[in-house]
Amino acid sequence: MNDDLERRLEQAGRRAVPLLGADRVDDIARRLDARPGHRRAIPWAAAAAAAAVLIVVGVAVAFRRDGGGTLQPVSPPMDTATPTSPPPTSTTTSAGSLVTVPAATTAVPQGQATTVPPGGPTSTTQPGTSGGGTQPATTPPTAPTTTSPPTAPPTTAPPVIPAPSFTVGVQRIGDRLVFTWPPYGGSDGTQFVLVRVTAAGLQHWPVDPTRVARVVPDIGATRTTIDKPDTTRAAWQLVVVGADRQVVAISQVVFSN
Amino acid sequence: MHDLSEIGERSLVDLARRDRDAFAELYRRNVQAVHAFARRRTGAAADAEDITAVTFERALRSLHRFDPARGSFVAWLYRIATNEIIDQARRRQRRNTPRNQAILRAVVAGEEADPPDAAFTAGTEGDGELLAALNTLNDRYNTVLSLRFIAGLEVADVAAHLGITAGNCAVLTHRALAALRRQLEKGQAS
Repeated sequence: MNDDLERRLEQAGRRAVPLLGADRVDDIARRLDARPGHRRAIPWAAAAAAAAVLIVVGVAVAFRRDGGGTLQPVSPPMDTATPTSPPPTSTTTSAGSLVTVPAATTAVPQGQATTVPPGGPTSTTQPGTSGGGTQPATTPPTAPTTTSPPTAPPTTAPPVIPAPSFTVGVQRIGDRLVFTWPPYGGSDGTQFVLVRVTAAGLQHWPVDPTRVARVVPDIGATRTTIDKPDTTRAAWQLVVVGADRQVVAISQVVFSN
Repeated sequence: MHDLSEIGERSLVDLARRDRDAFAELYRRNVQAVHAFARRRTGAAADAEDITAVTFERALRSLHRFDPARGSFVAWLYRIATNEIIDQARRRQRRNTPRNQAILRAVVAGEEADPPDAAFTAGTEGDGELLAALNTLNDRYNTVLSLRFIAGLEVADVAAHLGITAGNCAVLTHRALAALRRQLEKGQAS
């Protein structure tokens, strides 16, 4: 009687699934290594963790924001580089770096001994902090670094997702994650959508609904919280959505633990 | 100095209780298997990564409780992963309120392409209906079916990890399948 159901379950158990990426394997290894009482670096994770700290520091100085501390919609909204191409700024690290640098960590020779601040790679990327520091949820981002006018030629990527144009801070408080961002200063945005992404950032819009962690209908909001009891490292982006449900602006990728 | 790659599982687990490098070797040997199980069971890539990470964190914390007499190390990891999957499903059900669903439909998918109501609870890969129905079963039924069929463990291994006899495991499996069938029929009827 239950044979068909058993077969269905067995099929689910045999379904081909892709392997976990080497960068994600290293991410988990870093988490294990950072556990209290487990401070001594697991050799194969240490070098990758050090690289991740550099990424966090780099992103912290590369964010783009206007001097008034408000978000600005990307203008024109649909003709800038997608997150898969580095935004053309004067800094050396950008959202695009998040795509390429972690991949390089998988090629780091195992066995290198490196000391990494516990929690460093997975802490907030609130701008102005220096790799792994945290700030109270109500603290606004600190003063921005400068960016120069775009000089790189436009990419040929599909003009769907604008380049990241502001930063979001994230802080863990117990089982919850608190996301904060500067006040929205544009006129096209109507809502915020917090999306769970990969390190490469949002690639498609509309996004897979399972990736949406929170919709914030109040465009005047500057913070939101979600329940996330597990402390697995996760990447997030905040999307400013217009009345036509298109992306008006998008934040840099931020990582939580 | 050990060549960890040549050490058998049981010895490696013993060693891992006091040697981090040995645990790293256990991680390296089993991470893909745990991830594959989690991905098949949840049907979602991001969930599978979370569950894999949490599974090894819990394993590291609870390694002193692993009893090799009750089955293989990977089966123990599957059990931990299953517990986390059950916990995760519960957490999602708590926050999957009608209001959240309505906002999501209005903003994300547009009027012409509403997402299914189970967007936050069901997987997006594989047999989503089956996986969602599994999450509605009680913990014991969910666990026995997940270990037996999704993980593909032998009855004896499942029984050992649940602390029951093989005969009882067979009975439990039969009842769990019946409950799963009822759940699927209920879903189709509604």
